[in-house]
Amino acid sequence: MEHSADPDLGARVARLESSRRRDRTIVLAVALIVLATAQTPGPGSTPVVIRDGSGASSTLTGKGLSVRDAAGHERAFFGIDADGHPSVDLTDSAGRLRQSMYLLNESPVLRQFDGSGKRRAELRLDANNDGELLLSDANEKLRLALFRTTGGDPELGLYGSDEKLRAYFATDDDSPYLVMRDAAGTTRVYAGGYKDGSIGLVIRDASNAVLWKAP
Amino acid sequence: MSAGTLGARVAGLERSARRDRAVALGALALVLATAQAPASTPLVVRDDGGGTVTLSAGGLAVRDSSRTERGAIGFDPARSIVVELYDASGAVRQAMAVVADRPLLRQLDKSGQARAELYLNGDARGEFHIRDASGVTRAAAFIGDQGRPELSFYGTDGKQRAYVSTLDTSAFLVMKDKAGVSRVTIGTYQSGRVGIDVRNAAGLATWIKP
Repeated sequence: MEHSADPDLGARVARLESSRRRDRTIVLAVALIVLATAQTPGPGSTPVVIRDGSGASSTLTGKGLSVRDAAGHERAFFGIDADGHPSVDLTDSAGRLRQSMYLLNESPVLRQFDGSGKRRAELRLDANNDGELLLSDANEKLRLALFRTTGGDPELGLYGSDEKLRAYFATDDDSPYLVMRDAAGTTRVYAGGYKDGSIGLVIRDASNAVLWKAP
Repeated sequence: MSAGTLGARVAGLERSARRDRAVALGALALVLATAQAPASTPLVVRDDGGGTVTLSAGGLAVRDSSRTERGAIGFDPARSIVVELYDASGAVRQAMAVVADRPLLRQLDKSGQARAELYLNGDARGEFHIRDASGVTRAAAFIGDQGRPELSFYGTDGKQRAYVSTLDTSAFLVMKDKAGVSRVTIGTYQSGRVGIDVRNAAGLATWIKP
């Protein structure tokens, strides 16, 4: 073994060892900061999928967010649908659409469907932007509607299984009126204001002849 | 190994250590200068058509290819939680929200006027309203303040014209004129009698049965 001729050599090596420890600390700190502040890449077209242990998943795409259950059925969607409508869709455990809130031809609609996919309840604005509540039967025939007429009067309409109006209750600014019709569409009972301004009750037969009137 | 050789190697190591330290300190300075907290940066996903979906701390926003916001779920500026759908011009046309801790579904026209609303009122009773372009309620179905279900129609002046309602004992239907006078009443009276009456504009009965 040879002895060092430089008396400072031991001190210089000690400084190097100290410096190495400090530098290692700095490098580790940089790595930690990078990891802690790491960002996902900027706008990208790759869907982001988050999955849980049950197999359920949420997928974020450029169209919206969809949530699937463990069976793979899409149970909820929020975004722009296949027809280009902004939409919120909720489906049942079989993957059938049961409720949808969306803009149809730029008008708001909330629809509820039965298990057969028939529209059974609907809340919407019509072409005049007037609100409507519509209830339909299992054949998707309209049976009840609460709406405003084309003249703007509020009206409740009740319809037969043939979707023909059977009764309606409405009002204009002058007076309300209640009308009951038979299957042929003939008015059989009328109560409320007449066009001449009077108010009363009328019962008619199937040929529309007055059977009884008051006052 | 000679002392001279060893000294030269140590000197080389010292130079290398100074250079590495400078590089490491530079990298640290760069990282500190550019680092961002993860939660503050929205996640953006783009589709092939140019539409985007942005997930931020405030919620999820969907934009079409013209960058118009078409849907949002999250907090609105008033910090209510809301789902909103917007038309192609960016106007909100449908909203489902919890406002002041009460649920609300609202459909709006192009001018931003609420035209149909379904909500729970301050007493947690359900109400459905159809309003005209001026915001006047023209039809409403609701549970009244006495717990009575009621369907009510209103004129363009917002005054009630007709209603059908029921108590536990029986139902009644009332038709009013523009002045607010009840002109037709069908059903149960406050006395408990059931019948039909027609009144004139002064409120005097012109026909009563039975």
